[in-house]
Amino acid sequence: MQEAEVEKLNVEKLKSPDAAAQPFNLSTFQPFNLSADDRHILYAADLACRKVNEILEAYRIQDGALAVYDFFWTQICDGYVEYVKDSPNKAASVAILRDVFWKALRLLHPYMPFVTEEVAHQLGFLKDGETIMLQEFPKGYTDAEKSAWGVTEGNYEFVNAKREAITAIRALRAEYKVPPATFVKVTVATDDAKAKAEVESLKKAMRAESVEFVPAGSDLAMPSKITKFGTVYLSLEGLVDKAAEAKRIAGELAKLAGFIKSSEAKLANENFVAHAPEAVVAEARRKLAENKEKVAQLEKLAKLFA
Amino acid sequence: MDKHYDAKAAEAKWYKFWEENGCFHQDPDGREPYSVVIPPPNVTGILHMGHALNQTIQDILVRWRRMQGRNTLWLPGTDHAGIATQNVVEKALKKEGKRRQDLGREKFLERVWEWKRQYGGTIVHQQRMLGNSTDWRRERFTFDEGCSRAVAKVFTQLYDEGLVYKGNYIVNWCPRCGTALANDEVEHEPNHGHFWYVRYPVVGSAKGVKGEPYKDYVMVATTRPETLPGDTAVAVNPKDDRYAHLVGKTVILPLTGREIPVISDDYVDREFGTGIVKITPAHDPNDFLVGKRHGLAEINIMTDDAHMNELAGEKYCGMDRWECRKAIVEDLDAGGFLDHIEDIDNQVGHCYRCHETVESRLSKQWFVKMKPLAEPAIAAVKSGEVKFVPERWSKIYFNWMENIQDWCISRQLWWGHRIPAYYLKSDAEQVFVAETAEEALAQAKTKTGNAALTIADLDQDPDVLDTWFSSWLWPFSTLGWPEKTKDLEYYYPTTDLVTAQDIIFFWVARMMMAGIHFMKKPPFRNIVIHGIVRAADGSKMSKSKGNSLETRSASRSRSSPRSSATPRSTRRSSRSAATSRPRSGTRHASC
Repeated sequence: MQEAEVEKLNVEKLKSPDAAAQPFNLSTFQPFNLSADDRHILYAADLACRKVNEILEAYRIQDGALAVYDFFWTQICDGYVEYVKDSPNKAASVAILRDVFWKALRLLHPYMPFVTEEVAHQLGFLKDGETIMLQEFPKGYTDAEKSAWGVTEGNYEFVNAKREAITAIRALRAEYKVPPATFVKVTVATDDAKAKAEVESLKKAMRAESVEFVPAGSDLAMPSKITKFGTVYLSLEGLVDKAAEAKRIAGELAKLAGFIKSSEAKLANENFVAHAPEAVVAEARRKLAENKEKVAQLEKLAKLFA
Repeated sequence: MDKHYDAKAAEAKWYKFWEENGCFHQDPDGREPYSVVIPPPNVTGILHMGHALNQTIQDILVRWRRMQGRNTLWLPGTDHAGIATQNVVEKALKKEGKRRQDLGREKFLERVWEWKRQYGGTIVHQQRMLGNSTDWRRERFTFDEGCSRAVAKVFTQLYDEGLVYKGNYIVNWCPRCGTALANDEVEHEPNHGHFWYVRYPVVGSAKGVKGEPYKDYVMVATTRPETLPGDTAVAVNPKDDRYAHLVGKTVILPLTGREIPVISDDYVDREFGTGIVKITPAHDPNDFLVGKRHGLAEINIMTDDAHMNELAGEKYCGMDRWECRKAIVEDLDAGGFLDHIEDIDNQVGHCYRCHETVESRLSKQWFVKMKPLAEPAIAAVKSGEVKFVPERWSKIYFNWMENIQDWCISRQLWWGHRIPAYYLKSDAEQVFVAETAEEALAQAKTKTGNAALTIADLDQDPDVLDTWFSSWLWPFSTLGWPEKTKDLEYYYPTTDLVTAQDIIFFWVARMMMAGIHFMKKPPFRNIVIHGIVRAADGSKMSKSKGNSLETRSASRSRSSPRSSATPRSTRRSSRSAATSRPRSGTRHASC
C-alpha cells in the first residue's frame, strides 16, 4: 500500500464518534467561533475547486493533478488535520474537515478513480449502491457562504505565513538536533496583533513551552529563519550538553575534512577528470560541494557550543 | 476499516459495479452533451504506455465532465488493422507450414475472425484494468457490420461524386503469376549483379571525337539497364556540390535521343554509384515517388509478362526483359555510352510463390481525390470552429493539408473491407460501384441492356481498402451513420478528440475531411494533442529497442496518480510520484 493512501485513510481516525451521523451540509453550519485555520481550509477548498475546473477547461491535465495534490496533501493532510487534533472548537472543525475532505475526494476522482471510490465508501460519504463517479464535481462555496464564514484571501495568506513559521521552527529543530519530544522556547519578531493571537496554536504546532513576541526588526543571537509571519528564533539554551555536542561536532568535522581532501585530490588529477565517465566526475564534484556545505553548517553549530 | 488497501480487489470490485450498474452509459436527453470517441487501438496488440497516457487523459476529462452533469459519452472500440492483423494470422499459419493461399480467401478470413474472437479481448481487458469509463454498450469495431456498411456507402458516394478514381500506382509484380504482391510477399535475396556505368550527354555540349560522342556528360550507374527507355529524369542530391551546376539542365537519354531533365531530390544517396541516378517512375517504387514530387511522366515499357512493349522502342519491343538487357548493354557500348562495368552484390526481390524475379510496375489502384475534401477542412480550423490544443499543431495540420496528395486506398490484402467495385467477367473494363453486389448487378443489367446477367457474371475487386478508410469515419460510423440515429443527432459533433501528434495526418486530418463531407459538420470541436511517452533518455520507446513497457506491467493498478503514468514514476510511491514533476516521463510532452 502506498504512503499517500495510508495517510488519507488515517484521516478517518479523526472522526469523532458521532461525526458519521452529522450532515456535511455546511449551509446549516453555525459560523461562530471559526478560527483562522478553519477559515483558511475553507478558502483553500474553494480555491482548489475553482482552480481544478479552470485548469481542466484549458486541458492542462498535469497542472490539475498538482492542484488537487497540493490541496489534498499540503493543505488537508499536512496542515488542517494537524490543527483539527487540538482544535478548540472540535465539532465545527471535524464538520469542516469532512466537508473539505469530501470535496477533495471528488476533485481527485478523475485522476484516481478506484481509490477515491473505496475511500468514499469506507468513510461513509456514500451509501451502498451509490458511486462517487456520479456525484457532483465540486464547484467551491458561494460568495454568501464565504462572506458569512469570514473566508477571505487575507486570512488565507495569514495562515499560510503561520504555517511557514511552524515549518521553519521544525526545520531549525532538525538542524540543531533537538529531540522531537523536547519542548522549546520560540521567539517571533513581528508587530502583527493577529499573529500574537495565535500563540496557543503556535505552541502546540511548534512543541514550544513558550512563544514570545518581540518587535519586528529585532536581532537576537539565536538560530533563526525569516518567514512571511516574521523572523522566528529558536533558543538552544539548556537543550543540549554543550561539551558532548562540541566533541561530536569536532569528530564529524575531522571525518569530513578527510573526505574533502581525498576528493579534491581526485578532482585535481587530470587523468581522472579526462578519462572517467562524465557522470562519475559530476557525482564526485557534487559530493565535494555537499561535504563543504556540511562543514559550513557544523562550524556554525560549533560556535554556539564553544 | 481495513488498514491496508488491496488495490487488486478494490479495482475489480468497483469496475464491476460501475459496468453492471450502467454508470458509463447515458442516453440522449435535454442536457448539454460531452462526447469523445476513443482512438481505436489495433485489435492485434496489447496496450503500451502511449495508450495508457492517451486513455488516462481521456478518462480524466470524461469523468470530470460527467460529474459536472454533462450527458457524457466515451465511445470505445478497436481497429481491425488490416495488414498488422493479417500478418499475425499468417505467421500462425506459417507454423503449420501453410500460406494464406493454401486456405483460400474465405477460409483464411474465417481464421482471422476466429483469431480475433480468441485473442482480440486482450485490449478491452486492459482498458478495464486502466479504469476507463467507456460506454461498453456502445463498443464498436472498424470491421463490424455497421462500420462496414458506412465504408461501402462512403466509397460508393465518393465514386459517384468523382472523388474516388482508379489511377496508376507502383506495385510489386510477379510476371509469372500475373499478380501484384504485397511487400511482405517479396523475398529479397542476395544477388551477384553488375553496375553499368552509362554516360548521358548534356544537351548543348560539343561533340567529341574517337568514340566519345560528347565531351560533356553525366555518368549514371544502374543495375537494371533494360529499364533505360523508361527514364524520365536523372537526379542528384541537392547538397551534392559536385553536380549543383547541372541541376535544371537537360541530358540526352542514350539510344532514344529523348531529352530528360536533371533534377535534385533528397532521395538520392551521394555515396551510391556516382551520386547521379536515373529516374524511372514506372519501374521503381522510389523513382515513382520522386516522379510524383517532380511531376515526371511515367513510361511503362513492359507488358504483364515482363516483355518489352512498343514504348521501349521498336528494336526492343517484344523482347524478354533479360534479352533486352543484353541488347541494350551492347547498343550502349557500341554507341560509346557505356563507360565501364563493375561487379556488385545487391538484393533482388523474388516472388514467394514461384520465385520469379519481381518487377516493380505501374498498376491500377484506387485513389481518393483529396484537394476538394481538404479545403473545407482547412477552413474549419482557420475559422476557429475546430481548435487544436495546443494551438501550434494547427500549423502542421495546415502544412500537410495545403500540400495534400491523392490517397491510394487499395491494398493487396484479404483482411479488410473489400472494395465494392464489380467488373463484368466478359469485359473487365466495365466497372460497377455499389454498396451491395445486388445493386451492382442492377447497374450492370441497365448499362449492358442484358437482363439475363447474374451475380456470377460479376467479379468483385480482389483488393481491400486501407485500414484508415474505415477509421476516418470513426466519429460518425460508430454513432450509427448512415442511419439517422438519435445518438448521431445528439452526440455528433463530438466534443474532444485526444490523440498524439504522430497521427495528425493519417487520422485526424482525414476524419476532419470525412466528417465535413458526409455529416456537413466537423467531427469534433477540440483536437487535444498530447506528448509521446519516451524513455528516460528522451528516445522513442519501441519493442525492437527493448525499452518499451506494456501497460499491465507498468501500472498494475491505477492506485498511483494517473497524470504521472510514466514508467519511472509509477514505481515510486504515490507521494513521490506526485511531487515529482508530472512531466518527468514525458519531458518532450507537447502540452
